[in-house]
Amino acid sequence: MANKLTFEQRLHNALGSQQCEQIKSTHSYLHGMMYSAEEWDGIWNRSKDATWAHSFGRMVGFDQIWYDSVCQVDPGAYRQWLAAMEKDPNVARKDPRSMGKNACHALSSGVVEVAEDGKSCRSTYLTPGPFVMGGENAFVSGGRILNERYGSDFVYNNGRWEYFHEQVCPDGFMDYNNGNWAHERYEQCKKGRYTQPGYHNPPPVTDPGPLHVDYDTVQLVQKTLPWPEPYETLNDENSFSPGRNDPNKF
Amino acid sequence: MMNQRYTNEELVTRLWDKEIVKDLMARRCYYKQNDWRQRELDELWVRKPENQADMSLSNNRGYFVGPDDIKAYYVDGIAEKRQSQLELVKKTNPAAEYGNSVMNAHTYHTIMVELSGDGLWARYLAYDHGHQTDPQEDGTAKGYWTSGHILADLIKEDGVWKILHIKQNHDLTIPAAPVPGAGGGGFGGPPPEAEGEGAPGGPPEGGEGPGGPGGPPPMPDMGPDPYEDEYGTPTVALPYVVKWAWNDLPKQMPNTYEPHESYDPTISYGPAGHPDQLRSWR
Repeated sequence: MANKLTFEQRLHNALGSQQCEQIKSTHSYLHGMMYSAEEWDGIWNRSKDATWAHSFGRMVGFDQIWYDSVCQVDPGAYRQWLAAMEKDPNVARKDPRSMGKNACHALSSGVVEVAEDGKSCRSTYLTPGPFVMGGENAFVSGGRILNERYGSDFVYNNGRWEYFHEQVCPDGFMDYNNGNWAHERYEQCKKGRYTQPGYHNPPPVTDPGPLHVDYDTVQLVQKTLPWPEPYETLNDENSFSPGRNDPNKF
Repeated sequence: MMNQRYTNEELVTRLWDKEIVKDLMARRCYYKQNDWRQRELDELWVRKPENQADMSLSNNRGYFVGPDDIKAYYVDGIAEKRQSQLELVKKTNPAAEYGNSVMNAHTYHTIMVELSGDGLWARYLAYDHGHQTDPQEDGTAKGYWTSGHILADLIKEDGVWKILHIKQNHDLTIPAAPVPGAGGGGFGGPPPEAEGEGAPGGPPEGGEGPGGPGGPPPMPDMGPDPYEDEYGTPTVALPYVVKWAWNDLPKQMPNTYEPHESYDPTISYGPAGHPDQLRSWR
């Protein structure tokens, strides 16, 4: 397919692939710093077809994503910062968000495909699991293992690449060195306590989940996020959010 | 669609330069794992005297500046440690050789590369996750998971990319064994009681959105980092303070869309670019 493209088109797509990798990494660090506003303001498409999905469901449209991911999240960071300041006044000169919960979503094993028409890019990534975050007791960093997979769509819009769709699929959140998480799940299964889909208190979403379920010992392999294959254009067959593929729908 | 500033040939060069930078930093992981530290300095770092005067390698305590100070810390200091480790291992294994029972593996990933407008300077950011193993006196070994992020400046010397600055911000060392008395479900304590409204005001695991099934459990205080003793005495004592987590990172991230035009030491990952919190209101 790519052989049909001109040199300039292939160059555009190669640059696009590299830039979308960069955007994906940018998301990881901004998210880790809890710079939610900067993330969605800086790298995301703002249309009604922008979507963000997790196991609990899919947020649809930039406004809903912004409300759930910025308006609902920022207050927690500031409350944590205020609590930390009670313990140490030096906190007053520190950044309320980035000194807080640093969710380090490491990215690896990227599969990245740019559409033949050069107007979109799709990727899947795995995270190998190392996960760092500050504790809410403040001043203490901790690490756990978070296993997830990510499906992302990007669009080339008004001369730049933008994040368009994201689907996060958590498979498990466990300790580095405490117990045997798989065996614990087995023991729970023996008691009839299987992993339940959904979240205890999910944010508002347009498409309710569950879209993915955490690991269980009796669970079949979940093929929630097929990796992208070479494709011609963003459409319902090549999208992590079928039916919502117009980056200029406002 | 194409960029108006650069020719196609220049765009290809810029595309490829970023891949070379990624490749060069990846090579460093292997050099470090092999303990080829002097070889790393010789082959991957800047060689011109005027650039070497500015080269720096930092840890959480500060910056080692110039080839002599970097060598004393990064090459000779570690060689000394390895020798003492060998003597330890020989107590239970007299046939042990230099490097036995030691593992030092770091991986760089989630990479960002900002290539300056003039194409002569690259700013690099990656997570650094790895594991280290230290031999013990009784013949056993102690293992750790390590976590941090790494920032680097690379410049072109006669058309070849070389490392100018590396800033190793070490966030966490996690013993690969339960931590006695470290309760609370972080690591070493009992499993988290994960049914609830989550951490007060915090997002669920990973910080994605509000609510969530309990959010992250409290993390236990791990105490002093076991590798702090290796930090040595830097040339310029400007620390990365783990206590403040990623407080400095917003000022240091490479740019995603608009690169800086040319090298600027005040935003570099050398000591002149240290993100002093007080600078903003001085």
